[in-house]
Amino acid sequence: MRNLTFLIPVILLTGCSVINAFTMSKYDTGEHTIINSIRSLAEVSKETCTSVPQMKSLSKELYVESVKLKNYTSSLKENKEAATMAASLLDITKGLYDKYQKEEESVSELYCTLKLTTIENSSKAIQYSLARKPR
Amino acid sequence: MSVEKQLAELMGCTCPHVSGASAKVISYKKMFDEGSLSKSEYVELLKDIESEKIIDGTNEQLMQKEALNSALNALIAAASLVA
Repeated sequence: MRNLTFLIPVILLTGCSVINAFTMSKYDTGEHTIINSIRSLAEVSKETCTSVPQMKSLSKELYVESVKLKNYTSSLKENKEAATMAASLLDITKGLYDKYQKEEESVSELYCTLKLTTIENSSKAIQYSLARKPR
Repeated sequence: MSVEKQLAELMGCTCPHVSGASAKVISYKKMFDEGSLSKSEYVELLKDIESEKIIDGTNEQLMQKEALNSALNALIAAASLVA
């Protein structure tokens, strides 16, 4: 215990951030698997933007995976940041899903590509930080 | 000042998130003006920029926490080795 006394000034100086760092959730394989699935699905789906029926099904898959991520992250303790990012990613994927369900004939290829690029980049950023959580 | 001019200025911002988002807005507007995107597609892509902003900001917070956690664990490990 005597060895840890040097930590007292560090804790006093930096306050809540130190406590928060100690209370953050650990790396979770389930969480990482879902975000990897969303990222990979978005990456390969860009090739199918020309096919509306295929995109209708893929957009549903992306949406379902995002709902899974939102539910999973929000069920873990001390996981506020991951849950916030999952909720925002869900907003993005839901837009694509709704578009293909409601206006499938008028969805442009350009919109599909831009939307999937956004989903891919956002999930890549989320995956990067989830993978670096303490083990 | 016009929105286009404001966005052009923001593109030169040193903050990568702001300049990146501004570049996207300009590019989407151009696509909409040319008729490559419908109004609803354009509006939704603009809304996505807001969601991306939340993801980027939260991501940074989480990375800082992770870095702090690693540093603290390293300090505790080092202190435990001291006789």
